[in-house]
Parts: sequence; structure tokens; C-alpha cells
Amino acid sequence: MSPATSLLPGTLDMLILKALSLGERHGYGVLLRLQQMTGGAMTFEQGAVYPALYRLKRKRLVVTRWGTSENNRRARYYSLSADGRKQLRDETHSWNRLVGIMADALNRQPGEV
Amino acid sequence: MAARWRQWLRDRLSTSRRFNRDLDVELRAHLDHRTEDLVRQGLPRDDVRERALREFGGVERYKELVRDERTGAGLQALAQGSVADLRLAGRRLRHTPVFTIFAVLSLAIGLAVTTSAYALVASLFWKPLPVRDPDRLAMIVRPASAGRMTWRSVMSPAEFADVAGAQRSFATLQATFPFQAPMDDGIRTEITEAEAVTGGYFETLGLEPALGRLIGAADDRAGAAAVAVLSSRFWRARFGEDPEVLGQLIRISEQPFTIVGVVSGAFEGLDVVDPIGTTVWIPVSAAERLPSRPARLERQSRRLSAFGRLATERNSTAASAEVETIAGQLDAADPLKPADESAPAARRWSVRPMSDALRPPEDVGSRLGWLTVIPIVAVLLVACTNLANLMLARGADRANELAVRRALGGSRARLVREMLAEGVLIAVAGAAGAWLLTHAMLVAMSMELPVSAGRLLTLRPMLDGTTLVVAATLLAGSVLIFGLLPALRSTRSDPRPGLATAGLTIAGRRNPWGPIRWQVATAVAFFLVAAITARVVIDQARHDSGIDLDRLALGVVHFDRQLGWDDSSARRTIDAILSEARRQPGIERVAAATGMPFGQTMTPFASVTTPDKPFREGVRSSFAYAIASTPSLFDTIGVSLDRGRLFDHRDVAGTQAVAVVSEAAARELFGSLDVIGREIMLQVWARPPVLAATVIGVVRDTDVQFVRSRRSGVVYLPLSQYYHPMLDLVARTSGEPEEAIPILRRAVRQVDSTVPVLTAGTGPQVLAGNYVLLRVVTALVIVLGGLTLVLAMVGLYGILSQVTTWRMREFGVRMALGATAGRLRRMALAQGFRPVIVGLVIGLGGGTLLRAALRAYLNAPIDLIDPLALVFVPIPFMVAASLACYLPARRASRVDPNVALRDL
Repeated sequence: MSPATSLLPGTLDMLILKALSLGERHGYGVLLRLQQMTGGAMTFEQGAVYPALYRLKRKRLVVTRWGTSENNRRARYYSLSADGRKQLRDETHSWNRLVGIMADALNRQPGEV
Repeated sequence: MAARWRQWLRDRLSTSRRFNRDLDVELRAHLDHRTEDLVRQGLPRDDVRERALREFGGVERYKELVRDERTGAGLQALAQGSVADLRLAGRRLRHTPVFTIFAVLSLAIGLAVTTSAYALVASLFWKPLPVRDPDRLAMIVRPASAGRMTWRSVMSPAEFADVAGAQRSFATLQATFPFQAPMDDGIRTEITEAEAVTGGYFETLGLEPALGRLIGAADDRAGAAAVAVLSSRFWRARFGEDPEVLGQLIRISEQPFTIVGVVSGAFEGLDVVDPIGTTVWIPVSAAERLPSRPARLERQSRRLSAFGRLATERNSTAASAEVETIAGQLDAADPLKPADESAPAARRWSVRPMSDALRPPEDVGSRLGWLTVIPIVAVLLVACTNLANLMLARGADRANELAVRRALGGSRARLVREMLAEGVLIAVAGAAGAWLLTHAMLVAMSMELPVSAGRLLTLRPMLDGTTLVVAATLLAGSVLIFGLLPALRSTRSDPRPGLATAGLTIAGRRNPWGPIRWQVATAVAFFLVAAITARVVIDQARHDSGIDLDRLALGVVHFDRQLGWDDSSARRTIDAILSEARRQPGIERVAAATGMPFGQTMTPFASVTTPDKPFREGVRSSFAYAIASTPSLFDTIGVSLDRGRLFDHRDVAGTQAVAVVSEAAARELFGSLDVIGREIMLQVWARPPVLAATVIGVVRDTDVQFVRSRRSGVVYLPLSQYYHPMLDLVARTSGEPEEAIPILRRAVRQVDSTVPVLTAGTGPQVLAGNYVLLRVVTALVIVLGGLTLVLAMVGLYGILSQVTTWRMREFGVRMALGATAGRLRRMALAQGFRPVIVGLVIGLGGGTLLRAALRAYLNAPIDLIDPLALVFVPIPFMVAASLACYLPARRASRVDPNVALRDL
């Protein structure tokens, strides 16, 4: 397994949006999703999701409701709003584009420049 | 309305609480979930919780981060919104340049004038004492007249040595001897305030040098070099803060002193009452070398002041008791010989904390400072009312627009923020303008003015932080509060009333005349109060001192015995000088005298008595000023004869000794004015020899010792029978006395160029004490009074013309209904005038009440009704009101009625 990589700033928000796109989750559930999605290769403290979630909520990209969890705890559930879905789509697109360009440029052989 | 604010506050607080509670629950749920997961994976229960927490990172930290996101976001939104608001406000203000200029100017002028005028008054009347730890400093005081205690002239050097040796209450006891002497700094000679101090003076007060060093113990020994320390103000004014001044020589009473340092900060001696502070300090041991009286510190003369830093755990009461005991011991060992009124029978010393001891007496002089503050406050308050009315008017202007926006769903907070932004911009612009203006004014007010006895008063007002804050708060407060008030009112929940009546209301009220009345009333009331100060000041300036001050020029000459002058050579020279001066055009009469009835600190005094009550120890005798002069003195200074004759050429040395007395002296000695031919006996400077003289004439009283003081009498003796080396040359001029001064100097120089003219000035300058102070204060008061009126007029004009403009629509309707233009103009005038007249009446009444209150409080001679002010004050208001009503009315009456109707 490759050494654990730390997150680029801003990417956590994107990952959370993606995680939520697969369905409503509470904070712990989002965290589990993130670990699944990244295969455990990303390290971050668990608590870091919460400021990010609040940010997304403030920007109205996610909406919240209070509910009861599977083990009878009162928990806050997050889900994507329409704006959130749109944002995820746009940002994924930009990201892929950026990554493509960067990979191309960085991988050019000396002779191709 | 208050209930609504409370609710808002409660909402905000409870939202925070709820938010934090929810966050708590959420994070705890997370941890519980994680814990259970870990348990399900088979980890031991005890470790699990710890691990969950570790994996989470700091719980509190992340809570903080979430909270930061919350406030950060809020602030960010606020910042962005605020910038937009300010830009919008700026644009709006630019569109109404007249209002903006009026508002900014009112604020700037109000603030600048208030702070610089106060700085000037404070620098003249209330000087700080910048010493270290002033609460531990105390002074030895003695009783003076009228039950007060004074710290001046408390003991002699011999007594000081005794007290300093015997006492234990002070950690260190120091002495100072304030005196005046001519100082030659290489550029010019003039009489300055100096202090001769003991070696520990500066150290006890905790003062530091700004340059070089200060006087220390080593300088206060017999035989030590004659050194001098300058004040910062003098160093700035005369030497331009040149560091090369160290080592230069100055001459005090023609003795050389080497400058070794400059005191740092604003310290100018302990005498905080005198606006002229100490210029130079020398060691006491050096002062004893000064040749000329009264600077010479003789062993027995009691001219020292004593102060010290209290020992730890001693207070001034304990020190006082100890000093009283020592005084008693000294009295027993070396009793005083009471020869005259100024020498008491026993040493009555006590100790007071320094701040108490130095406090100025409660006389009109220090009162003057407070009186001058009144016009300053008047300007400030009128500026405030101006601003308030301007902002109210503006709010009313926008009432319509605001109502419409509210009706369309605009948020109240948003609208209020816009009005606030305007207020903030005006406040900032006004503050910037005030900053510039204040600095300019402070620089303009820094100057050197000639004061009595040829001294120089260096005016250098320093900005006072407290005043600045108070004035700025009041003015900014006016802008913001009165800017917000209409915004808050007109954005109330129900916008409909605003829509319907917009244009005829101010701050939601139908009546726009209220603020106008109020503006006029306050301005008038305060102007009436400010007039008090003007009166007091003018009265002081116009006081009749008994001599013809305004046409006198004086110069002091000193025939120094040490330079070889004696009685006969001096007399010959005096006669020559007088005849030379008499020949000059512009000088009508000239005389020489050993002193003047008032204003000269070096006039000899004498104890006087009659032959039937000879001088005896323990018996008080009368006290009078003794002036020996040429016969022409009376004519020159304008003192007229009441009965008998003045001395003349017949009264010379060898003939019968004669004297002329003032009315007060005659009454005090003999109980009547019928004293021609009676004998008197006197001891000049209260010391032997006893002189006898026959009274040949009685002259009218003058002020004696100080202007406005008539407590003592004066005895005039012929100069031919008594001689003194230091003489005043007095000349009565036909033109400006200023021009006679160089003539006098020239006359002296032509007769004998070695005779120095020590002080020269006009009558008011040399004799009239705080004359220049009065002039400065008068000028200030006049300017402030004028400014108050101008500001009030401008404010009145602004608001009245604004109101009339609003009524354009109404005028149009009236014209459409058949009113003539003339009738409309008359109506506008009448309606505009009414609140002004009402305001005037209220203001005059209120002002009179305020005057009555001040008269009771200040115990000063203030007339209840000042006829000049009553007549003069209404005029500018009427003028402003006329213009303000007439001009817009004329414009309105020219509007085509159709246009006006269309606007409906």
C-alpha cells in the first residue's frame, strides 16, 4: 500500500459532497464512506469532517435534519441539496480536467517538449 | 421598542446556546458510534474510548473550528456588506454636496475648535506637575492672608538647615527659591523666572534630563562651579533644541552660569499657577553669590520654599506634627523679631501634600480658566445641534424612498445599515478635517507674547487626550444617533404612513418646526452664557488702576555699586537721562522712581508709623509701599493731588524731609485725610534706619502691589532725599508707548552707554500682570462667540431652506388654487419666522436662567441681564431665518403650478 497521503485543502469538501451523493448520512456515516471511497489511503483526523460539513451547510450545498441513528442515538443527518449536486458535478468536471492537464504536462518525456 | 431589543438579544443568545448544544450532541453521537464499532471489532472496552477520542483529534478543538466557521462567515458577510454600504453611501453623499459639506464642516470645525481652544486654556491656566509619584511628595506651608496656606517664602536658609537636620518624616527635604532676574542668553536680556534649588531637588521630584544632566548634590556646595539647567520650553523656543547649548554661558544678573542640561518633559517648576514657568534652575549655593537684591539669598531672609518626599510609612499629618514641634523648638531657641506685617511672630509651619499646597487660590484669575471653557462648550454644543438637525433633515428627505423600499420587502437591517454608513463616512471625513485643522490651529497659537515686567510667555498648547475623546464622542454621537433615528423610525413595520405623508415629516413627526426652535434656543442660550465670559474679561481689561497705564513706557536701569556707581554719579546721570528723554518728540513727561505702585515686584515696601506709636518689638505697624521719585512722577503717571502740595525742586538733600502719602496711607495712619504737616516714621524694607518725614501732600489712591488690589497705602519720597541704585524710568507718551521704548533706551545710551536698561516695555506690559493673558482670553472668547453664532446661523439656514424646499409641492398646489406669488413668499417667511422667534424667546429665557445659576455657583459679579447681548444676539438669527425662508420661497413661487400638481 502506498504511504498515506494528506489531503489537499478544499478536497475534503469535494469528497464529502461525493460521499453524500450516495445517500443521506450522519457525520460518522460520512466518515465511514470517505474511508471506503479512498480505500484508507487518506489520513485525516475524524473531527475534521465537522467544520467541513458546517461550511457546506452554510453554503447551502447540504441540508440537515435531526433523526435517530441505527443504534438509537440522536444524530444530525446530512444530504445534498440541488445546489450541492450541481456543485459536485461542476467540481468533478473541473478536477478531472485539471488532473488530466497536470498529468500530461508532468509526464512529458524530455524529447516531447 | 426596548422590549424588541431584549427579544433580539435573547434570540441571539439562545441561538448560540442551541447551536452549541446541538454540536455537542452530534459529536458525542459520533464518538459513541465509533466506540461501538471498535467494540464490535473486539477491542477491550477500556481502551476503546481512548482510541476513539484519539482518532477524532481534539474534540474541543474541532468544536472551536466549527464555531469559527460560524463567526467567520458572519464577519465575512458583514465585511463584504459593509464595504458595499460604504461605497453606496459615498455616492449618495456626493450627490448632495451641500449637505455633505455642511455636515463635515460642522463636525470638523466643532471638533478642531473645541480641542485646540481647550488646549490653549489648559496650557495657560491648568499646568500639569509631571513629577514622579506625586502622592508621596509634601510641602511645608505657612499661613498667608485670608486664612489660606502658602508654600512660598516659608523659611530662611538657616532655618532650612535646622529643619532638614532635625526632621525624620521626610526621606529627603529640599528647598527652592523662586526669583526673577535679568538673564542674558547671548541674544537678548530679559527678566526671567528662575529657581535656586538644593542639590536633591530634581532627584526628589523624579525628573530626568532631556539633554546633559540636572543639578545634583555636587553642585550645591560652596565653591562649586556655577551651573544652570534650562526648561524644555525655553530650550525649544530660544535655542531651537540645539544640543550645542551644553557648555554655553548665560548671565543671570550679570553672573556667568554654564548650561549643563535641560529638563525633559513639561516640567516648569512647582508654581503651576503662573502661566510663565521657570526657565532656568541654579544651585542655591550659586544664588547666594548673585549681587543684586532681591535675588540675593541672604542668610536670614525667609524666601525659601521647602518640600520633600515622605519617608515610607509616614504621611503628611505625621510630618506636619513633627515640623510643628521643630518650629516650636526653633522659636524657643531663636525667637523671631516681628518688625512688620510681613514677618509673623512665630514660626507657624505645617505640612501638606504637594497637590493640596500647590492648588491655586480661588480668585477670578483661576476662575477665568473655567469661564473660558464655557464658550468652548457652547461651540461644541451648537455644532452638535447643527449635525443633529442636518441628519434629521436628511432622514426626513429619504423617508419617502425608505418607505417605498420597505413596502417592496427590503429588510430593515439593510436600510438602517445604509444610513449608518453615511453617518460613518461623515464622521470619518469630519475627523480627518478636524485633525488637519487642529494641528494648524495649535501651530498658529504657538507664539511668544510679552508679559509683565518684560518677561515672555511662550504659548505652546498641547493636545489633551480627554478633550479630544469627549468632543469626538459628542459630535460623532450626534451624527450617528440622529442619522439613525429617522432611519429607525421610518423603517418601522408599517410603511404606509411613511408613504402617504413623506415630505412633510421629520423623523416621523408631522411638525418640522420643533428642531428649528430647539436649534435657535440652544444657540441663543449658550451665546448668552458665553457673553458672561466676554464681559468679565472686558471688565478686567477696562479696570481703572488709578494711573494712566496706556500711555506709559518704562525701562529699568541699574546703577550697580559693584560697577563703581555711587549716589552722586548716579544722580547726575539720572538728571542727564531725564533731560535727554524730555527733549525727544513723542515723550511728554518723564520721571525716575524706585518703583511703581503696582506691577513691579521690586518696589520697596516699608513699615510706617506715627511718632506717637514708635516702632517696638511685638507691635504691628502699618505697611505701605515706599517710592522715592523725581517730582515729575505724579504728572507722568497721572496720579492727581488731593490736598497739600507735591514735592518739587525745593525739597533736596539737607532741607526738611518730606513725604507725600496716598489717601489709603493717610487713612490708615491718621484716620483722616487731614494730615498735612503731620509727621510719619518709616523703615524701608522693615529694617533700620528709621526715617522721619513730614507729610506735605495727599494724592489719590491707585492699585497697590497688584492690579485691582487696594489693600495698602503708598508713601512717596523725593528721590533727592533718598537714593536707590535700581530705578524705573517712566515716560508718558503722546503717541504709541511702543515707540517710546527705543527712545528711552537711546536717551540712556547717549548719556552713558555703560548703564544697562534691564527691562523695557509699555505700561500694560510691565505693570498690568496678566494683561496679556486677558488679551489672549478675550481674543479667544470673541472668536468662539463669533463662531457659535456663525455655526448656528449656518445650521439654521440649512434646515429652514430644506423645510421650505419640501413645501414646494404644497406651494404649487396653493398657486394652482389661486394664491399669488407674493402671498406665498409672505406665508413662507411668516411660518419660518415663527419657530425662530419662539426659539429666541426660549433661548433668551433659558440663557438668563443659566446665567443666574452660574452667578450663584461661581460667586462672580455677573449681571443677570446683559442688555448688549440681548439686543445683539437675535440679529444674526433673524437674518439667517429671513434668507432661509425667503430665497427658497421665491424659487418655489416661481414653479409652474402644473408641474407641482403633476408631482402629486
